[in-house]
Amino acid sequence: MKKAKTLGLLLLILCTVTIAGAQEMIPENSLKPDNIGFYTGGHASTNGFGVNLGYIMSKRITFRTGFETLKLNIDFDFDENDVTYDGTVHYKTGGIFLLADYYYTPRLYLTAGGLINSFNPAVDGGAASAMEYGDIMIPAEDVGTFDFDVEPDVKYSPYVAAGVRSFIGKKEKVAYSFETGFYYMGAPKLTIETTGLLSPTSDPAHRQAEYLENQFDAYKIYPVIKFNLAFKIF
Amino acid sequence: MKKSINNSINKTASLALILTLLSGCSDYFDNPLKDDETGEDINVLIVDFNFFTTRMTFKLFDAKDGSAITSPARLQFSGKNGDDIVTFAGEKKPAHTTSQGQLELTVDPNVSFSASAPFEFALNVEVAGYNTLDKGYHISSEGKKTYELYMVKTADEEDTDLDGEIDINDGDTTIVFNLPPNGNIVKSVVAEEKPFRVNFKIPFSDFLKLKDANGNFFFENYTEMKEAYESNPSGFASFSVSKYSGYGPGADVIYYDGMFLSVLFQKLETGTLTSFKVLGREVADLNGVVITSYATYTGENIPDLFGFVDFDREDGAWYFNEPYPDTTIYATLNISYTLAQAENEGLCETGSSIAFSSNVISSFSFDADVYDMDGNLINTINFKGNFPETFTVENAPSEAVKLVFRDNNPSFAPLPDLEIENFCSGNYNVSVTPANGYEQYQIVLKALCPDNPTVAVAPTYSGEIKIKGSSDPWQGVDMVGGKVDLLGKPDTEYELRLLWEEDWEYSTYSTFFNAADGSYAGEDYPKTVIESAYMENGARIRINVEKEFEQNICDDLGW
Repeated sequence: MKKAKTLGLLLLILCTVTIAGAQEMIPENSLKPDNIGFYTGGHASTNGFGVNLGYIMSKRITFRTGFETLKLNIDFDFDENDVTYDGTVHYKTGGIFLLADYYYTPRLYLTAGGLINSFNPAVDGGAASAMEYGDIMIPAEDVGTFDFDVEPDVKYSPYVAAGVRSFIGKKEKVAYSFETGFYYMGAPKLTIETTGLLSPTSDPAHRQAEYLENQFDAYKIYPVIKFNLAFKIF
Repeated sequence: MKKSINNSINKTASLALILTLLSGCSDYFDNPLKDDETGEDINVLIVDFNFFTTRMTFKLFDAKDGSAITSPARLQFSGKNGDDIVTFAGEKKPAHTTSQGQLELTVDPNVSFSASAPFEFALNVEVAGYNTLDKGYHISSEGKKTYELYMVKTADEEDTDLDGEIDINDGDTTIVFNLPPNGNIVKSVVAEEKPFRVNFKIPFSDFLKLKDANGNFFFENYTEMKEAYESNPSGFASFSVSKYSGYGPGADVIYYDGMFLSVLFQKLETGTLTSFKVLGREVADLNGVVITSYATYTGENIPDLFGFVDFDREDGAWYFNEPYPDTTIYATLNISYTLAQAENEGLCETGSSIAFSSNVISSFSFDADVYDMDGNLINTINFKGNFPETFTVENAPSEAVKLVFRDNNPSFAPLPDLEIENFCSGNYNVSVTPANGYEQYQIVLKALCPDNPTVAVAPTYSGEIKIKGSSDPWQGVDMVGGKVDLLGKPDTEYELRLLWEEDWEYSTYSTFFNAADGSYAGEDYPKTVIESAYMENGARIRINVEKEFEQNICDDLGW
């Protein structure tokens, strides 16, 4: 509920800004005629690296589409109750986006749009050593494995951001922008698979996934910081 | 002017946007692994003991009245695999103790065994006021095992006073103390005659060597001794034996023909010399005299093996006396004996398969007394599992038997007897129907540790339930990963208990629910959170019981 209010308030602000709109804020000569056209380039963001295609339609409106992806596999190990576990974080995020930028000053803009979300981090692993249990040793394969898989609640995520754009070069055929915003992806959905002595953790009867989802339900938005670099193609 | 206003609006809007974003992210800085309200660590993992694939329940009963023995008992394991029996905390102990008449133990999961290489151990049980019990086991398959151990109270032994009689046989004159076959000469009522007899013999001339507590001889010479006997034959010497002969047969391990065999074995009688008097004075020193004990089988069907036995705790087996099983020679007054009979062919390592099926989803625990066709009780088997489940009996005699199921499961209709042509083979099915008025539930137990809620336990373990406060018997249930399917009466309060080491851990729940959604409408209990919901389209109700266990259990587990 708190997040819904936040989102609503944000949209209200967007509307306010739009209406209060800076109808007279942007001088007619703020965008050269040559700046209008299609651009392509790359970007780096907290939601991945990608390529994009943009169309500067006017001094106020720019459309952008593209995709971005980020896959990281980070191995780690940890000790718990004298058992060494080998684990891997599989961080996967990204998606295909379609955005519209509204410039309320020559350089500042607000963005709204959507993303087909491929956010899907996971942590898996298992015991790498036997477990000392009382006077006996439990083999590592009996201690078991774990796989915690996170998916967003919504596949199609709305996106809002605010940013700044500039052109560089004598002919201003290169544009770069920096923006910050977030995707709304809903409360994360957790899938747990476990074996060995950890088996009950993934048994639906114990509702552990549901319980942990409730603990993580604050994480409904995905923060984005993005840097774009684009070249005019025609 | 308008431009200035718009700039202000832009700045304000941008600031508001940032503040809104930050306020929306405020919860991001809360640790999700802490409880929002209490700030304590949350439960992340639920673990099980499912690495233990063989679970053993030992139950101690009084042999006379069948009641559970709740005096402190000490169980020791020995033999080839005796050291591989551990507690559910993985502890190997020189002796396990219980005052609950019951003990839950398990087998080191690193030890594998099979019919060709069975798990072998000996059990020794000591309870104050009871005779020590020794028994050997060969287990050929993993699974849930329940062993009922019937112990004989020393007070239930019969004190038998015997007067010696002169017996002249081949010129060897002896005093013979005959233990009567009816088992009791004190009582006027003659008990059922036993098909065996135990005698103790002392050469008459050896009475000259005996000494009393002061180190004095009883007689100066043979003439004096003979006159004493002739003047009062019945009062000349007396032999007092405390004995018990109410043992039933069962699977046990013997050493025979160079091998350790699991066979049908029965102790026929145990006895202990309590007093040996000559002319009313206690004999204190045999002074080199030997007392010879003889056993004679007087019945018609002579057993394969009959005689005096001793139990070897290292080997986990009974040894018949060699070279003469029916004879034991004692050189001291510390006389005790065990007379037994056994078959000389091993039991079938795996026998008949018995499948239990039902139209309900439920755990079950059925006790079956196994009788031979002559009506002799030869064994007791516990079948504990979840429908449908098939059990292959082990250590089965190759003969026709009848399984008589005990009526100790209130939630099921009584089971009819099951007749089996040959207990070593065949497949049989037992169809089980629920008792009237019972409905299906699933209990999901999660045990939390007070000092470390991060890890909870959902055990694969043997439990018992019954209606709280009722006189019903505790009904065995088979919990797997904290889940147990069972039958219960609606609108009733139940107790579920698990035996951990020496203490029962009780959880209470009731079967009061809101009809609309199956949510729990029963009473709340201390340190317990209960929730419920319909499952399987309303066919059953799942009851989640989250119970804070005693910290000492968690300490045992290292959590």
